[in-house]
Amino acid sequence: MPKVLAIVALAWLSAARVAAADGDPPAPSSAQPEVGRLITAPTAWLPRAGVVVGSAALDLTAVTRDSRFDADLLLSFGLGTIAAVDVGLDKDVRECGACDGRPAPLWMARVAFRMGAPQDALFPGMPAVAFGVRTTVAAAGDTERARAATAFLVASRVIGPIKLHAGAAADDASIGRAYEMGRVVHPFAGFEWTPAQYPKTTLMADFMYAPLFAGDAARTEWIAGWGVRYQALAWGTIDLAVRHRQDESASDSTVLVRVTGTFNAPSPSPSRR
Amino acid sequence: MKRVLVVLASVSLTGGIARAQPVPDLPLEGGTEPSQPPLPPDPKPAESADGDHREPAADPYAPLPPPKPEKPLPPIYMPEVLTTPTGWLLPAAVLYSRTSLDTGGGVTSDHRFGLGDVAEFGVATTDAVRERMDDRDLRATRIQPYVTASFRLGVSEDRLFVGQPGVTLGFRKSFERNHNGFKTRIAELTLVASKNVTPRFAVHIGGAFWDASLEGIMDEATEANPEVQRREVSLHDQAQLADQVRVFGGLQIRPLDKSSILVDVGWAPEFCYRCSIDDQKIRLRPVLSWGVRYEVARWVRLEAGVRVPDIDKANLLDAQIFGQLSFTSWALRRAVDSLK
Repeated sequence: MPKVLAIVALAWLSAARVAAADGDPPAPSSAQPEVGRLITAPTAWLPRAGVVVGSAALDLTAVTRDSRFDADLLLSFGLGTIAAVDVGLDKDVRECGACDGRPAPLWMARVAFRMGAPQDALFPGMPAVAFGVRTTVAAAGDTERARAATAFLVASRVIGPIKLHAGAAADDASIGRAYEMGRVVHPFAGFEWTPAQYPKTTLMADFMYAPLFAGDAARTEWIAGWGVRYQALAWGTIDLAVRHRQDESASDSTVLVRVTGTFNAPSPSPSRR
Repeated sequence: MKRVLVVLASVSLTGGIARAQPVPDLPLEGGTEPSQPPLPPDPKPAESADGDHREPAADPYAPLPPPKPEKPLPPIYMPEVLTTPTGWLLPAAVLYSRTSLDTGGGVTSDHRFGLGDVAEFGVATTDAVRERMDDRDLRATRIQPYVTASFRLGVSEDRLFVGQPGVTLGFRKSFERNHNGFKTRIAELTLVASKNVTPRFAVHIGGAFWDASLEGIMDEATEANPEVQRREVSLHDQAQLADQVRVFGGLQIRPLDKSSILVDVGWAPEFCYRCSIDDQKIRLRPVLSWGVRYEVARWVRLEAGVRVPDIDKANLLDAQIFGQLSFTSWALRRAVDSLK
């Protein structure tokens, strides 16, 4: 019942935002966005100082298949326009015992710190660059003592209607004090295209790796995603995307619906104390 | 009934008109002429019958003199980069408070106040000190809270000569900490210089002389030594002088007016209670931190970043993301100034 309510609420929210978006001016496609994540892969966009970006998603694994849905929740706080702190819950990392079936998502509370420069900051044509570290605060699942950490360097650039993202990430994972996977470095990439005919709509795709806890060990698996982002409001977007994972058939693909909002946090009084 | 309403309305209207009239002048003694403006006071001082000059009585209704314009407050340079001390001191009577939270579950606080522009006193808790049980324990865990007191003295930038960096000599000492049956203490003597190379770039470099002690049952019972006893080891007994000295430093870049990028490398003690070799029981580990400081308002700053406790291993899983809020206050300074 809560699942159905959550889906209904998300659908209603999506419809309401789409409806409310009529007449809103589209966000300029050349301006640097502030959402620090494509579908799974991070981008080099950082929120401005005092801006909070919040997103909530339902990954509809199987509302279609085994009555389970994944979800994530992320809040990004812009810090001085050159950094951001992300706090969130997600199920990007998965676990399996004997790994003879479909791995189960693992809830992880994670915090990330990203620091970087916006595009054109140092010289014309420079891509936005960000370096980030993401660590696990807690996990809930069969592998409760699982921890995953990622360090990544990513560059993003707006080129007309296209936005490109490319980077490299070092992943590590551990299970308590008994096991450490060791650093594994992978590239990742992302792509966005906003057609001139549909200035509020962006087609996107990305490719990223995430740890998979298999029994008493861990390895990484790739996640490929593609979908559409609709700029429903000047401050809000709705994403609809499909995610495929390594060693899974097309029928195991998950559908993700994500709502993202960008808000300006109130600033304190500048008076002296 | 209608008559009553008409009467009430008439009374109300009349009353309103009457109240709207200006207040008549009060009758004056000796006639109805308007009052004369008061004469200006006699500039000459009053003279008594015996010829003495008397001061005129003070006018109790005289307007107060305009308040003195407040001096513009100088900028406050932070006493720490992220984890290492700077060569800058808090201005006199300025209060400083910092509270930090990190993903490893660490909560720390630091409270200081400036003394006469040449010194600073503070009490803090730190989670930088870590412990391991034995040689097989590969991942150190933090001991917290670890309470320390610090005193620093020094001179600010350009005080003695133009181009002189800010220099501070600081001493930090912990209270004895009892954890897992072991008593530990740390002490650190630092000398650090900080210089604003340009208005947007500052460098900090310093040296630290460390000492630490560990007391407890550190040996396992063997056939040869069946009765183990508590004993104490200290860094100054186990290590050479050079092993107690470490260089630390940091960089501070301000690309935007209110935002600074901070990077520093410092050191923190690590205790290994039952390591087989005494030299391994107390070791200094390098700590790398980087982050951003954002001046939300003149009195509050928000900092966030990443701290890697043991950069020798470069273990991603050890990395901690921290957020900290620091406040500075001139309130005590203003209160002191108001007494002058």
